[in-house]
Amino acid sequence: MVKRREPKTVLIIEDEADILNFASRVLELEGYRVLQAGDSEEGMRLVRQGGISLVLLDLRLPGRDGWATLKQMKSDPELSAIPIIVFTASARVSQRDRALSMGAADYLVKPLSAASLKKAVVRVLQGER
Amino acid sequence: MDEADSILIVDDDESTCRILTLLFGKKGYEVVTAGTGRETLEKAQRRFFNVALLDIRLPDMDGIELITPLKKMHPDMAVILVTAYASVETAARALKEGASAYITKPFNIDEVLVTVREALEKQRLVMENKRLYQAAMRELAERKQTEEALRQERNKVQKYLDVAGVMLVAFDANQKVTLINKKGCKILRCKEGEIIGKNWFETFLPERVRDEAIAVFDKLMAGETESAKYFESPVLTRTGGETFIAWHNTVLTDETGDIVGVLGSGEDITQRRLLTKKMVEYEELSSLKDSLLSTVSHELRTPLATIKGYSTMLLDYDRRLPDDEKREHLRSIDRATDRLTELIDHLLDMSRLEAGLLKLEKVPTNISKVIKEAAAEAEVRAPRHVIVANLRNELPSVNIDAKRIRQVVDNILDNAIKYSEGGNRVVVQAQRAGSELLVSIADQGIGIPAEELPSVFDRMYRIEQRLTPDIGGVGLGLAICKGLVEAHGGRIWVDSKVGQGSTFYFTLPIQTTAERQDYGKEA
Repeated sequence: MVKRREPKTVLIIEDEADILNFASRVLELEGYRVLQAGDSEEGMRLVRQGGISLVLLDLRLPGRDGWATLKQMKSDPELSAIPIIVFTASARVSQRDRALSMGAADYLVKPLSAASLKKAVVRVLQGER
Repeated sequence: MDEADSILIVDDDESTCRILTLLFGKKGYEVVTAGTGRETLEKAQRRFFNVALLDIRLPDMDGIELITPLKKMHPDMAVILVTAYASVETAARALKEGASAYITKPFNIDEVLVTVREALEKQRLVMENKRLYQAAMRELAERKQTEEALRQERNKVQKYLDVAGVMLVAFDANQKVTLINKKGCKILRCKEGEIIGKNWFETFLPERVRDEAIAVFDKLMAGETESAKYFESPVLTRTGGETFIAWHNTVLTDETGDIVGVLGSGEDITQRRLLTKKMVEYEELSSLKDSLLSTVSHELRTPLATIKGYSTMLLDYDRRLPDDEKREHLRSIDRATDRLTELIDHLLDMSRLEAGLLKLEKVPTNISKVIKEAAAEAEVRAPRHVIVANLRNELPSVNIDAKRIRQVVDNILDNAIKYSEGGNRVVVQAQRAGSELLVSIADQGIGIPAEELPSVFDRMYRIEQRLTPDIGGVGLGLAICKGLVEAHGGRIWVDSKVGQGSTFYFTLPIQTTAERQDYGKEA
C-alpha cells in the first residue's frame, strides 16, 4: 500500500540568525517543512498549533532558556510525544546527560556539519515511527 | 621543764645521802641514792638521770672510775664529783674523764645547789643544741628527699608537657602564667623564664581579642563552663607577630575542688588557615576558570558552527544552491571568522593585561584626532546612528598608545551602538580636568540597572545574557578597556539609568612639561 508522503514539519528554536538559517536551509533541501522561532515563547506558540514532527532546540536563548522549554514540553501531555533534538554550543557531558534524562531524543554539539544534522534528524524521525 | 630533773646521789655515808635527798627533794628533784659503785651502775643501767652526784671515795671503787661507764650509758648525764681531797690532780682527772664539775667536802649547801643547777643548765643547753642539730639534719634530709621527689615529678610532668605537639599553658586566678611547655615557648618565641609569672592576657594576646578571651577565662573561673568550647584566637609573639591558635581549655582545681586556674591547650593553625585560605582561593579560581572556559568554549563554538555549517552545506548541496544564496552563505562564513578573530584577540589582550605582559607604545598624541576618526568609522559601521564628537580645539597632548586608546573608544562606541534601542545619538566629549584628560561617551540606549553597575568592567560579564542575548561578544570588551586605561595610568567608570542611557568616562594623565620638551627634541 503506497501512501502519499506528506512533508514532515520541523520547528527550529534558535536565536543565532546564521545558525537558524543554516539548519533551516539544510532541512528544506532534505524535503522537510521548516518553522523558525527566535525564542522559547515563539517556539511554544508554534508547537501548540500542532503538526510538528520534530523540534530542534538551542539551549541558550533569550528569556526562558532551552532547559525550561524542554521541561515544559516534556511535562505537557499533549506535547511530550514530539521528539526534541537539543542543539547547543555547550560540549559538557553533564549537560548532555541531563538533557537526555529530561527526555531529549538527541544532543548535538555545535559546530556540526550539514550531513550530521541531516543524519540526526532522519534517525530520530525514523525511530519515532 | 615538764618533768622533774632526776638526780642520783652516790655516797656511802648514809647521813650525807639523807641530807642531800632532803635538800633536792625539797627543790623538786627526783632523788635516787646509791651507796656503792656497783649499785650506782645497776641503777643507772635501768634509767637515765640528769645528774649523778658522785662521792669519790666509795667502798668498792673509786668514784672517778664510775664516770666513764656512766657516760657510756648516758652521754648526756651530768656528772658532778664530790671529794674530800680537794687536789688539783683529782679535779683534773675527773674533768678529763667527763665530769661536769666537782664539789669539795665538806660542802656548802648553796654551792651544791648552784653547781647542780649550772650543770643541769649546761646539760640542757647541750641537749637542746643536739636536739636542734638532729632535727635540722633530719629536716634537711627530708627536704632533700622531698625536693628530689618534686624535681623528679616536675621533670616527668615537664617531659609529658614537652612531648606534646600542642602548646600547653596554665594560668592562675590572677591571670599569671604558672606553666608553659616547650612548644608554647617556641610559639611565643620566648624562654620559659620570660613567660612564667607574666599576665597571660596582657602580655601574650593582641589587644583586639583580649576582652573576648578574658570573658572566656572569667566564665571558666566562675565554673560556668566545665571546659570552654573550641575557639580560635591569635597570640602575640615576642617579635610582635601573631600566630593563630586553636584553643581547648579546661579548669584546674585544687584538692578541695576549688577552681584555681585554667589550662589551655593550643594548636598552631597558622599554616592550616593559610592552606584553607589558599584552597578556597584555588577553588574560586578553578571555578572562575571553569566558567571562563565554558563561556569561551561556547563563544568559540558559535561562529565555528556557522563556518562548519555553511561550508559543509556549500559542499554537499553545491549544485542545488543558486549563486546569490551561495554568496550570502560565504558572507556569513566571513563574518563568523571576523568574530572568531576578534574573540581570540580579546582573549589574548585579556590574558596579557592580567599577566602584565601588554606592551604599550606610548607617544605624545593628539586625542582629538583619535576620537574623530573613531566616531567617523563608527558611523560607517552603524549608518542609522549619529555619532557626535564634541571636542574642544585646544586639548592638551597625551602620552598614549594611540592604537590601544582607539580600541577603548571603539569598544565603548560599539557598546553604545549595540545597546541603543532608546535613541540613535551618541555624543563623545573630551576636556581637560585638572592634570587629566576626561573623555566621555554618552548614549541614549537601554541603560544599565544600578545593581549591574559595579560588575560591568568584570571579566566575562555580559548584561546582554539576560537582556539582549542576541548581541554577540564574550564579555571581555569592557574588562579590556579597564585594563588598557589603567595601564595608561587612567581611570574608567560609568553612569547609567535604565531607559535613559549610559555615559562611560575615562581619564588619561596629561603629559608633564618635561615630557613635552622631550617630544619637541625628537620632532
